[in-house]
Amino acid sequence: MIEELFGAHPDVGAVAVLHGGALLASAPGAVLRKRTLARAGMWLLAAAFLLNTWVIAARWVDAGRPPFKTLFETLLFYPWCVAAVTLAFVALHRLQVLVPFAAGVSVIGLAYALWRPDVEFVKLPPALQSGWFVPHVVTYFVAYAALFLSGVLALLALVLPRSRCGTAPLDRESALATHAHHAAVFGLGALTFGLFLGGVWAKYAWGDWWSWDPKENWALATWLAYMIYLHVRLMDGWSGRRAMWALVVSFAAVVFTYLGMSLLPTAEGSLHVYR
Amino acid sequence: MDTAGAVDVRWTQAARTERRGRLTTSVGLLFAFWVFLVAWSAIDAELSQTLVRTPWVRWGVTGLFPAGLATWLWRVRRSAWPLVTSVPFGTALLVLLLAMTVLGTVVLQAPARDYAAHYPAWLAPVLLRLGLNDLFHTAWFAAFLALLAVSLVCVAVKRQAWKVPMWGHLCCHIGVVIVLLGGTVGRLLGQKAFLELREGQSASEALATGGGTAAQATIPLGFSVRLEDFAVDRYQEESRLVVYRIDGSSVRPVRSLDAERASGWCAVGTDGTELRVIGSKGPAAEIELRNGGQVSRRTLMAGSHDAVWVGDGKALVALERRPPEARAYRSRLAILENGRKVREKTIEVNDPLSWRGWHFYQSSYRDRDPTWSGIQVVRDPGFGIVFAGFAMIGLGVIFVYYVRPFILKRRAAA
Repeated sequence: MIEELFGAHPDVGAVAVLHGGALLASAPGAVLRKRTLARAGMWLLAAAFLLNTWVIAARWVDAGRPPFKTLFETLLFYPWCVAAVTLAFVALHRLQVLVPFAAGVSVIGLAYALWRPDVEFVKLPPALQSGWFVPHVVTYFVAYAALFLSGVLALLALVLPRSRCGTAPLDRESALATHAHHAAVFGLGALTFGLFLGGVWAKYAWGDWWSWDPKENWALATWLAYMIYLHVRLMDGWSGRRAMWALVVSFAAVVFTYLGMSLLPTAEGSLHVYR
Repeated sequence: MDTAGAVDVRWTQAARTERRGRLTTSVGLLFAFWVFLVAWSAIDAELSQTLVRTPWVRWGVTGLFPAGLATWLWRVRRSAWPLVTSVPFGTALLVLLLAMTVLGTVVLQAPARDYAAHYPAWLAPVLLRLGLNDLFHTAWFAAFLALLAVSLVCVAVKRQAWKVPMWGHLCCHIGVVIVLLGGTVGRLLGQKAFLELREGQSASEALATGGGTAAQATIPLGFSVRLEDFAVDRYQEESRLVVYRIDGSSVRPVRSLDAERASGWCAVGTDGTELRVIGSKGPAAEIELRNGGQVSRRTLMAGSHDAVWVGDGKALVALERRPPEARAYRSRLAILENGRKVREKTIEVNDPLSWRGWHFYQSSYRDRDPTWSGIQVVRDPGFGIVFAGFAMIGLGVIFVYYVRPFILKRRAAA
């Protein structure tokens, strides 16, 4: 049965199950405002995070290289980043409302990873054997995680105008919007550093810090989308709901940059498409 | 009110009081500017082909564009400053740049000769005429980047960004200008070339590859480079026993075992069939299959379409050879000046050699030509500037969102 469900990766299956448990506990906990359930969800998320840490570390050792090469491997790492940033937000701002969303997105990512797993370790090509590889990928994935949370908070600010949500002390629309803004700012900062790390790395590897590769272009488009968000919120009449919409739409750009590359006609020559 | 508060208010208030309608106005204006630039360059390109003998007619016609633009700008000069330095204008510029960047990923970026195969006959010439096949190197894209730089500088001046609480904003805005400046310097003064060397061979000039240079032009380096030694380091060749799962028309790998190292039983079928490797050598492996009490032995050959159906016919086991992929390839390069060796370094991907402003990057190798090495040669005097711009933006972001609130809070408390 386990074999049938999780194939060669029962450890990844266990992480997915813990995330599923976190989702099942925290979602009703948030909707019905049951403190115990919400707490249980948070602890399950923390447990999933710890187990995922171990899975990634073990894979790192077994493969003899950082496990960030393939789509499968990033689908293990993204839930790790989402859980880490979510737990930090819960600790800092008591935003337990984020837990079901973090667990939910992790379940989706891990389920896809288990459905289309890597059955063997893909070798690291020379271009990726660099000290810049890990900082570049980690910075980007932390950014993607924070921007996911900002998108979720923005969406909540749009759909839950004046209601309390879960155990977080969110009475006004502006509280959610403020948290969404802070998450976006942190994510955008990480996005900026990830972009620069990539540029400097490309300079060392190929001699060009920017080569208008489709993935680079979408990374730039994503960055510009968040820049637009930062500026529209300064405009009269745009600081409220419209700015939140900008955050939601910008996160769609993140998703496309991460997963949508293979849909592009220009992706053929790209050096960044997961294969 | 203290200065910090005043400047802060000046920055945000000025932005907030700008009229709401400005965003659509700005987007419309910038879009019109884009259409203007595209029309200008398309007409110029058209005339340069048809009016080869009478270039002055071409200059006369295309000269109308900048003349018209300059006249219009002169007439609106008084309202230009508040417009160009407004937040809606900056936002609109970002929107247009985003749209262009996305367009450059949706439309194939390729030489004109590849277009016929990808686009219908009526569309291909239109896209080519608009320059969309090399969007990021068109004059109009460069014009928009220049406009961005101008607007960023104007904004920094208008908002008095040199005052302490504004340092972050200054760094972020001017940092982008610096990056663009570095890119321009690199494009105008930098050179790109390619060097093909065989072991023992040396060269004092490289084949130009950068845009704008005539094909087959060579660039003198001012010294010689000799390839002392070239080696490709490969991953070990492997034999893998791959288990495929068959569901209707979908066939996907679910397990892959190293035929030389795997030990013990491994579940493979949907019906509880297990497999183990008895022995493996080169492209052959002997395996044992077990289901309940039944045990059978099979020999598999790699690359022979030889596969074993397992259990209820929903799984398939095949032996596959993995070719030895390149782990690293390295060129030992020597720099020679006046016949004397002055520098030697082994380069590989991610570890270039630098000499007198030239950088040598290990770029390619040939499987069938083990002494050949392909080396990318780059001179980019702008990269230092770009790097400074990166650093400015990075520090600026930290300052704006994590240092400035702290300063403002302390000043407010004081």
